[in-house]
Amino acid sequence: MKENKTAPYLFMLPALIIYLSVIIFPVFYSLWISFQSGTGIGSMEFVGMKNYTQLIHDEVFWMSFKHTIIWIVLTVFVTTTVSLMLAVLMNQKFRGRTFFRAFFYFPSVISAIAVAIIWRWIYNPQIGFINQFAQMLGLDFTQTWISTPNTALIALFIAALWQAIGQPMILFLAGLGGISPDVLEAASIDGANGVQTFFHITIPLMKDTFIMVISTLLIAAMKVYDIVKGLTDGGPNNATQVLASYMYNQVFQYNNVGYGTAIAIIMVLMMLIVIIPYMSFTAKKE
Amino acid sequence: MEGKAKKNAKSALRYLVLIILALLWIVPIVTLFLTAIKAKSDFISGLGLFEMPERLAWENFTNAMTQGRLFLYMKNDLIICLLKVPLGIFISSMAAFALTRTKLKHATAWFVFLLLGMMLPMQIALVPISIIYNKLGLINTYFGLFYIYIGFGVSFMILIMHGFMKGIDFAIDEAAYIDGANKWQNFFHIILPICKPAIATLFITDFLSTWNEYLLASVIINDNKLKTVPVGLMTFVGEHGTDYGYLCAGVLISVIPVMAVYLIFQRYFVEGMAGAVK
Amino acid sequence: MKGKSVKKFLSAVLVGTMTASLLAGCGGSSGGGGSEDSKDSESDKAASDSGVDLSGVEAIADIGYEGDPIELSFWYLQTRQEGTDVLTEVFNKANPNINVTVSYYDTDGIKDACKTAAQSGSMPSMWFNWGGALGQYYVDNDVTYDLTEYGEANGWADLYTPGAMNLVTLGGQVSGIPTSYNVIGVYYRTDLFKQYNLEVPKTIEEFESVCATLKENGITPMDTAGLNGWHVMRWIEQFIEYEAGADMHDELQSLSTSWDCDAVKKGLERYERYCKEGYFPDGFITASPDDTYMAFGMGSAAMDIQGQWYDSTLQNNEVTLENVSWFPFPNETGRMSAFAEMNQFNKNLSDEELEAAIAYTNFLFSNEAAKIYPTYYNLPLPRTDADPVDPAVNPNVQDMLDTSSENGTFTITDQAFPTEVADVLFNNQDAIANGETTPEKAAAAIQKAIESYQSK
Repeated sequence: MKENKTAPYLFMLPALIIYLSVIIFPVFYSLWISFQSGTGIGSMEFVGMKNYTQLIHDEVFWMSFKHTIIWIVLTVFVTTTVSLMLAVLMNQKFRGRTFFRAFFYFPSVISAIAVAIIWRWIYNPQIGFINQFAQMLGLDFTQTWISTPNTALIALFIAALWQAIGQPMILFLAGLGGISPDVLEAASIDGANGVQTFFHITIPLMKDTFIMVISTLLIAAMKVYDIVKGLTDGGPNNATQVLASYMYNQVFQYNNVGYGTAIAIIMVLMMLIVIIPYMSFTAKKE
Repeated sequence: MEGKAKKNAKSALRYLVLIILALLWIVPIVTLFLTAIKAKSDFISGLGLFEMPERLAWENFTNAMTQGRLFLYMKNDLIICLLKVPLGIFISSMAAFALTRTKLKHATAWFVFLLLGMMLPMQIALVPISIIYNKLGLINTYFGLFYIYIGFGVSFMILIMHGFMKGIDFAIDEAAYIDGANKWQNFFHIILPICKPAIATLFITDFLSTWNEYLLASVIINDNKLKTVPVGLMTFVGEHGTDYGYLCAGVLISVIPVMAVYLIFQRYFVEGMAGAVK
Repeated sequence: MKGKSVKKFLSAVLVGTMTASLLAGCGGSSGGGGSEDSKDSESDKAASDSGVDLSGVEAIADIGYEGDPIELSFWYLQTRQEGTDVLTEVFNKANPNINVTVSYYDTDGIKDACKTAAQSGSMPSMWFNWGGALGQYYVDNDVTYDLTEYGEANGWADLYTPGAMNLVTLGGQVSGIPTSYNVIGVYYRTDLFKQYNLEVPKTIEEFESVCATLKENGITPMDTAGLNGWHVMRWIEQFIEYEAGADMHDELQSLSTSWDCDAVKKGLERYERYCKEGYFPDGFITASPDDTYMAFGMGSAAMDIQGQWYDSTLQNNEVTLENVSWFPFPNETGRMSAFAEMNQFNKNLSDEELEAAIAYTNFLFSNEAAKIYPTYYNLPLPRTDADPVDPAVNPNVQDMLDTSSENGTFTITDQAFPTEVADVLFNNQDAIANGETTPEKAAAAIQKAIESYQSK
C-alpha cells in the first residue's frame, strides 16, 4: 500500500490555517492581554498575575462561577435527558412524526432576543401566563419568578431549556437512526423487554452520540450568554450572573479589558480541564 | 393478537406523552404568534397576552419585510449561509478524514487541539480579529465574515465528522486502495457519501448558528446593505420602547428559511448509518 | 447510493453560488462597491414615496467646499436610519467632493462597535455617543478630537444651549457637538388624579400621600422597571436630591464626596419604604423599562418618570396625551435630572475633514432637517436658535425644558457614574427591593466601588 506521508497534512491544511488564525491567535493574544491592566488603548501596562489574584477576591466572580457550575450540571443532566426522551419518543415511525419533530425543533431556531422577550412576558407576575393560569385554577399566585433571587436561575434555565433541546434532539435522532433494527430484533427474540433493550443495548451503541451531545452541551453551558443577558441581564443583584456575561461586562462596559480577559482565560482553562481528559479517553478507545 | 394490542397501547401512550409535552412547549410559541398579529393599541388596552386581538394586524409582517428591510437582511444571510456552510463542512470533513482514516502521527493530540475552538467565547476574539482585519482591509467584507465563521465552526464539525467517520468500517478503505484509488478518491467518492447523515445534521446545525449569529456580524459588517438577520431584528428594538408586534412578526418571517433547511435535511436521520454498518 | 450524496453536496454549492450571484446582481450588495448607486435609488424612493418636501434642507446643504475629495464615515443609531439616509443623500449631492457614509447600529451594538474600533484603531470619522462616562471613555483614551479651541473660535457658547454644552464638556475638553438634550420629569395620568381627587404634589410629603391614596384604590402609584437598573435609578436619584440638596448632590455626582453618607442612606431608606408599601409594580426588578408605557397607557399605573421624549413615545404607541401631563419631582431644589447626546469626532481628522464633518453634523441636526423628520430627533434641538416644539403635538416638551432652565439640572446618575459603579448601584437597588441588603450597607458598597474605581 502506497503511503504518502504528507497527504494527511494536506487534508488538514485548510482547516488548520483558518483555525490557527481565528482561534489560536486570539487565544494567545488574550492570554497576553490578561496579564495587563488598563482601559485598552495604548495605556495597558504589564501587571503579571495581578488580575488573577484580584479575581480570587472578587465576590461577583465567585457568584458567576457558582452559577455557571449549577448551569452546567443542570444542562448535562436535564437537557440531555429531556432531549434523549424526545428523540426516543419520535424515533419509530408513527403518524405525525415529522410534525412533532419539527415542532420540538422549532424553538431552537428562534433568535435569542425573541426567546428572552417571550419568556419575560410568560414570567410577568401580573399578566404573565403562569400566574394567570394559576389564577384561572383559583390559586392566588403572584410569584415573581425571575425577580426573586432564589428562583431566578431555575426560571432562566427553564426558558433556556425550551430553546436548547432542539439541537441535541436531532443529534440523538441521528444516533438512534444508526442502530440497526436487526440488533434490536435479535434482542427481543432473546427475551429482552423494551426497557432492558434500551439500557443494555441502545445506549451503549450510542456511545459516540452521547459523547458528542454531552461535550457540546457542556461547552455551550460554560459559555452561556445570550439568554442571560436578554432575560435578566445577570440580575436581580447578580442572582443570574454567569461567567460569560460577567466577562462581557468587564471588557465592554467597564473597560477593564485585562481583567475581563482574565475571566475568559479562566473559562477556557476550566473547559480544558474537563474536556481534554474526557476526549482523550474516549478518542483513544477504538 | 396479543402483540397487536400491546402495540396499540404503546402507540396510545406515546401520543399521550407527546401531546402533554407539546402543550407545555407550545405556550411560548403561541405567545409569539399572538403578539405578531397585535397592533400597538392592543398593548395598552388591557388585552391579555394570550387573548386574540379583534383585528389581525397583518401589516406587521409586510412592514417587517419592507420598512424593516427584513427581505434584504434575509437575502444577505442566505448568501452567507449557503456559501459558508457547505465550505465549512467540506474543510472539516477533510480534516476529520485525516484524523481518522490516515496514518497521521499523534492523531489524538491533533484532534483535541482542534477542539479547543469550541471553548473560546466569541467575545474575546473580537478585538484581536478586528485589529488584524483592519490592517488587511477585511472589515466589512463577506470574505472576512466567512473566514471567522468557518474558524469558529471547524471544531464542532470536526467533532461530529470524526465520531461518524470512526464508525465506518475500515475494510472499505482497504478495498478501495487495493482497487488502485488514492486517498483523495477514497475520501471524495466513497467515504464522504457514506457520511450523508452526519453532513445533513451538520448542515442543519451550522446553518442555524450562522443564520442567528449576532455579535460578529454586527461588529465586522458596518455597511447596512450587508447586514444580516439578527442584526436586522435588533433594529426593531427601539430606543424608548419596542414595537413588539413588529418584532415578533419579523422573528416569525426570519425563521422560515431555517425551518425549510431543517425539513429538507431531516429525512436523512431516518436513513442513518445503516450503510456504514454493513 | 454513494454518488447521490456527492451530487447533492455539489448541487447545494452550485445552487448557493447561483442564487448568490443572482441576488447579488439584483441588489448590488455583495462587495460595497455598488453601495452608492443603490443608496441613491433606495433613499430617493423613500423620499418620493413619503412625499417629503426636501426643498428646505436642499437649500442649506451646500457648504461651498471646493477642495480635494473627502470621504467621511458616521456611525449612528439604527432607529434613525430612514430620515438620516435621505438627508445624507441630499448633503452628498449638494457637495460633490464630500461623501458621507452612514453605518447604523442598535443601542448596544454601537457601544460594542465603538469600543472594538477604539481598541483596534479603526474609529470612524464621527460617531454618535452619549455624554457622561460613556463619552468620557473616548476622551480618556485620546481618540476624540478636542474641540475646545474650535468651539471658542466659532462661538459655540452662543450657538448651543449652555446646559447641553455643559454635558458634552468632559475631562476638561469640549468632546463633541451636542445633538440632543433631555430632562426627566414625572409624567402622570390626569384622569386618575381627578378620579381620586388628587392634586399635583408640591412637597415630598404630598407626593407620598398621593401614592398612598392611589395604592388604596388598586392603582400602582410609581411605574418602574428594574432590568438594566436605570429606570429605578431615576426615582432614587430624586430622593437623594431631596435629602442632599443641590450642592451636595453635585459633589456626590462628581464623586468628590463620599456616598457613604446620611443623605444617600436616607434616600435609599425612602426607596426601601416605598418598596415595602408596594408603591412600585409587583416583580418590577426584572421587568423591562421598554414596557412601562403599557401600565401607564392602560391606567393601571398613575405615574412614570421619563424624559420629554415620552410625549412622542406615548403617541407612537397610540396612547393619547389627552389624559397625560407632567410635574417636576418635588425634591425641594426643583432641579431636574438631565443628560445629553452628542457627535464625537475622530482625533485624526485633517482640518478640512473636520470642517466637513462639523458642517454635516450641523446640517443633519438643523431646524430644517428636524422639521421634515421630527420623529428621528429628541426635540427640541440643543441649539439656541432651535425651533420650539409645537405644543399642540407635544404638549409637555417645551414646558419641561423651560422648567429645567429655570430651576437648574443635575447630571443623571448613570452618566455621572462610571459603568462599573453604576452597576453596583443597580445591584443594590435590586437587593434592597428583595430585602437582601439595607440602605446602610448599600451606601457603603457604592462608596467602596467608587473608591476601587478611583484607585485604578
